[in-house]
Amino acid sequence: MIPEELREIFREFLIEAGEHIENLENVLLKLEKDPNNVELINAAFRSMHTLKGGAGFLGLTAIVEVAHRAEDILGRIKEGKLSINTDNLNALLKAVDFIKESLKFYEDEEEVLVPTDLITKLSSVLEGYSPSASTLDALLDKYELSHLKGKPIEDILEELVLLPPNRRPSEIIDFIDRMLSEETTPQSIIQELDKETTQKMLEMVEEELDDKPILTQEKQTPIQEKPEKQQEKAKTETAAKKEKEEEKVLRIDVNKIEALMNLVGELVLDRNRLLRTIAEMSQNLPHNRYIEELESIASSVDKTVGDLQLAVMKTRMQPVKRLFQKFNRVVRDLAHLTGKQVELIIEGEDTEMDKSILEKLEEPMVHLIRNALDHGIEFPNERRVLGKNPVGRLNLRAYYQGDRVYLEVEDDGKGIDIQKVAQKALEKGLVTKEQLEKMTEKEILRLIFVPGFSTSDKVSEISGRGVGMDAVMSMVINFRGTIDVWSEKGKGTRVSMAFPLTVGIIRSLLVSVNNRRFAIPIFLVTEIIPAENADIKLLSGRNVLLLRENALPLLNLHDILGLERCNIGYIIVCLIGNQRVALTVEDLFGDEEVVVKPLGSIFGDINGISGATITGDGKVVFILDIVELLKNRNLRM
Amino acid sequence: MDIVKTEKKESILEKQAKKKIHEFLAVYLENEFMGMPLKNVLEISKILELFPVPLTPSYIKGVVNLRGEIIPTISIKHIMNIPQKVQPSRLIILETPYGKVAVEVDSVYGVVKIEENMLEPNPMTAIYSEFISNVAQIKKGFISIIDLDKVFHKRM
Repeated sequence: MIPEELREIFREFLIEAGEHIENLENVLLKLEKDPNNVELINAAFRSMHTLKGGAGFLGLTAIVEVAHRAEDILGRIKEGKLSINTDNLNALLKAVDFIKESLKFYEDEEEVLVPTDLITKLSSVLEGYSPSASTLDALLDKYELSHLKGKPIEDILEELVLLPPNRRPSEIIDFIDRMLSEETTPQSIIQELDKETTQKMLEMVEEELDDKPILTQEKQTPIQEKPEKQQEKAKTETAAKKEKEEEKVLRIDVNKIEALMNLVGELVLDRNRLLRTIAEMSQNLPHNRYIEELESIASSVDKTVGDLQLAVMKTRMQPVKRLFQKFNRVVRDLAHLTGKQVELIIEGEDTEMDKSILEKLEEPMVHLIRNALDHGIEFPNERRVLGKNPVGRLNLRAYYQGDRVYLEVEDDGKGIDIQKVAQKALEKGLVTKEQLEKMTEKEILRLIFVPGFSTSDKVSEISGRGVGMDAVMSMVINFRGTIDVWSEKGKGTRVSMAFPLTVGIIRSLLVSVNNRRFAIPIFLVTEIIPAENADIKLLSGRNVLLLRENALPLLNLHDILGLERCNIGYIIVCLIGNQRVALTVEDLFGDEEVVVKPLGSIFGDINGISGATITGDGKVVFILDIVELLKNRNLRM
Repeated sequence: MDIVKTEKKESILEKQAKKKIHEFLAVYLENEFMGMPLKNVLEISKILELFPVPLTPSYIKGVVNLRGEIIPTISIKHIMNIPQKVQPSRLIILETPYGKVAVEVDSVYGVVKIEENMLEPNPMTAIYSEFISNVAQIKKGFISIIDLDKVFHKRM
């Protein structure tokens, strides 16, 4: 348990630790491909050391124990006494995983036990090397410290440090000192550093002897400085460059950004009102000099507000890099597990998108990656027979198009078998034979997103039973996104998701139903058709809109909203996920940028209304959540 | 002399402490005289344009735009099963466990102060008794104190 007075430091440590863990994962994965890269080894060592130091200070014993051993392993690797192989890296990655997991527990104020399995594993990796100095053992015996025999030097030093100063056997310390100074290899920096650390710890112990062993603010500083000092010493040119870049980043409390967003939201609403009033004024008082002047000011304000909105929005944006980097590990582990060979190619990792969406993307992306590896990419020998490169290719791609961010997962595997999809959909009763006959290949392909669908005959340990695609679909829809899939037999599969750039402000189409106004997010709208031009037919008891030979389900918005019948002036075609639906409305009132405001918790969750907004004329307009509204309706034609 | 004065002051304060005074906003609902705890009242507003929200239960009348803030409006008469004949003329904006909520009342009388010992237990005679915490006889007449916790608890 972390004492209250250390909580603040713990929170800071959490942030820092998160970065180190991420860094470690990346570095370890890179090391697998480039095992002789000294810089990478040093980076991993530094991160692990910092983690150990911080955790030690905060008394996170389980992390200290694991990090300590992992650090030892990295130390040996650094000294060239241990080689890098898959086993070692796996053990290290497991250690990183454990630290990551236990931080979550500590955050929830839960205690974490020292993982004996992992410790044993790490120790067995370490066994490839043990301090050889037999004379050291003899010395240890002499001072009745024989229980330290065989332990790494750092351990022994730490144990010694913990002894009261008057009982510290100077002979052993001197011996170790000599041992360290005799090391002439450049790698021995680390041991010197440990000496430095030891010195610090010695000081601390002395201080503690005078005082009670309570850590006060002053005493925290030396330990906190430790990793920095070390960094300074081991700093390479690249590290210096990196530090410079980091200085440009400012961490801001999310709440402050939220407040800023809200203010900009208000400003957008006021601007809308201003523009509307001025437009009315100029209509009623044409050719008025003052109004013309006002108009030009307003248009400048309009532009500035737009820019401001964009700028604030950008503070919430984060590069997809952070998300994509996590998948290096996922792909590596999955490849190991399946016995397939995969090269991961990441494109457009600097593309930015809203943080709230980005945070929710990990799970669906993992599903897609799993699918690609499990069902898409073939085994190396299969690929050889097919004349493909035995190493499969998996592309993660991010790019902008219009006001949308696209994320794609593409593999060069065997593709999705359309016949199999059709057959499966038929078996599961998702479609009828007649429906299937009318469907295009693309439409059949899209059936994989229908809940409960799976293309894999066997239940796979990795990607389960097709629940993955459901999860992907529902997440995409929740964030007002769309999803599409392309596949060619023998060539590969590409799943593409598109998301709005931001979440707080939605450009919406204002419509009326029964003289009441509603807003439909414009990204859903693909087409607007005046009712008199629409080709509406009754097909097996349901209204359908015939649009360029396609039959789309036609629904009355007034019915869906439980309102009385009204005139139908226009038909709006919406794209929901991958399904097109036609909705009738009474009238249109153009489009406007609306700021989503919550309705108040008294309403609970109204399925179908995602919020409200106040338009320029002070009216409250409800923003329709078309996806929710149509959820329980059978839309399949 | 001084000493006597202070003693007197103290005794008045003591008396006041004993006689704890509660403040209520007195309103009319279908000619019934009712009070709401003043500590829950944020403001009184004239009736604002009401925007009904589709797909919601009937006790929620809709939302209003109170100076750019969207506030849900409920019919307290509907919740309390009071017949609805008189047209409401005021909105009382209340602080509730569900955030700001506006309730419609027919008219507002004003703030009344009632000593604690004057608050009688609810006689449980009216159709809406379950929403009444206390009753009291004051100069203006007989007042029923609405238990807002019950009003907002019942549905939500």
